[in-house]
Amino acid sequence: MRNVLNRLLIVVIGLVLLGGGGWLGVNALVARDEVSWQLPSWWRGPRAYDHLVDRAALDRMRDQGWWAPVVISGLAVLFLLFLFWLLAQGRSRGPASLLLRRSGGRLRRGALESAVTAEAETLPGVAGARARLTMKKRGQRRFRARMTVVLEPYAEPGPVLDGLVHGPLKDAGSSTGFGIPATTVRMRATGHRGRRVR
Amino acid sequence: MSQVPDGRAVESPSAPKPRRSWSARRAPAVLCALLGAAACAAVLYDVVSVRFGGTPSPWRHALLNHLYGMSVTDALAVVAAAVLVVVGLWLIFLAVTPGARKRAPMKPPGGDVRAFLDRSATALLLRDVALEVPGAGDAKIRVRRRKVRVRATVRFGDPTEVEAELTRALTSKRDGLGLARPPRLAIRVRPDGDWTPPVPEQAESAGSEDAPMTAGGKK
Repeated sequence: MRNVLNRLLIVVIGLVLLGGGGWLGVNALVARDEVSWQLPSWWRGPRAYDHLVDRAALDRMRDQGWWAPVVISGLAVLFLLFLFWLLAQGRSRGPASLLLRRSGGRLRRGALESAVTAEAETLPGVAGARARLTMKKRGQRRFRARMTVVLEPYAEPGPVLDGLVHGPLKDAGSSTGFGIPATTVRMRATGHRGRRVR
Repeated sequence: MSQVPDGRAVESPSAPKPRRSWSARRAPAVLCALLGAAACAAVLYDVVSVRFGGTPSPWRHALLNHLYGMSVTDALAVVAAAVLVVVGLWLIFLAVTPGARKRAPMKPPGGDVRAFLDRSATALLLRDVALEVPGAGDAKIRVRRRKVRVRATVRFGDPTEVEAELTRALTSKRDGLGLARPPRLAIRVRPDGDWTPPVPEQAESAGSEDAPMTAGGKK
């Protein structure tokens, strides 16, 4: 699930940054004598007037035979992980058309989307609508919809929502045979000037 | 939650508790992934090209030289540490909080359907109702997660009557929004610059009709 993955990776990156920053900060503050903390014996870090990066130790590691392959493969793995994470942000909405088992017809996703949109826009109180459907093979459980509804001034969102469920969404369910899609509806309103009573 | 006539949320105990919308946090995820991938790609390209007989690129040379020359006591070390800690804390905060505060969950309409009403839509719908109240001038509406603050000016009529009428109209609109957890209304009115008190004779001659302005303004 992308939601969980995103939050997990963000918290991991946050912890890494916090840990690195905390380590650097404690070392720097102690070295600058700005605080008089007694660092525990297991603490590893540069002491006062040390260089931040120990060049001699780094050069010794570079001379080892395993250094270059480890660095290169580590960077490559990390790069691929970031790349897959980036690609996972795109939404997969399944094939562009589906074979309907009951009727044998082929249904284009775009056609169903525009039908749902058009029906939603006929509801009272709806100024505009947009529907995005997800249909995967092996049907029902993967039939999802995301709708954005723009409300007219003076609309009643509650009845509009009921109208959506009993109108376009129900019809989309019965026309595909998948049942009412798992739907997330977002209701917006467009800005307009208020009408004042004189 | 207690039930107060003046606009406290009325909740039916049997209704299923709607889940709050948890944001997918796409923007920070995309940002982190892009920065991470770009940094890895740049270093990887340089390391591999050096491996195959190239020379290190000037930016890596400069960066490493700077790092080698840097001491823990440098002010830059403290600044870098502070930036890292702040960014790290911010990312952790983003990861553990739901976000999507501007989308209020609506009462589940049945089926596997979840609906959310934008905060700005709530504000616009309530403002339209407030402006229709006779005597109400400007209405400034600020919607928070649990509370709607309404600041209205009175252009004519008795401010207490205008406030009562505003409360009635806004409460009924609020309850019609279909929100799972209707926000509390905090309504305050003040006379605007041109406001003149209603003429007493007119109010007395109206007799039993106690709110002439309200009656006159009804459509």
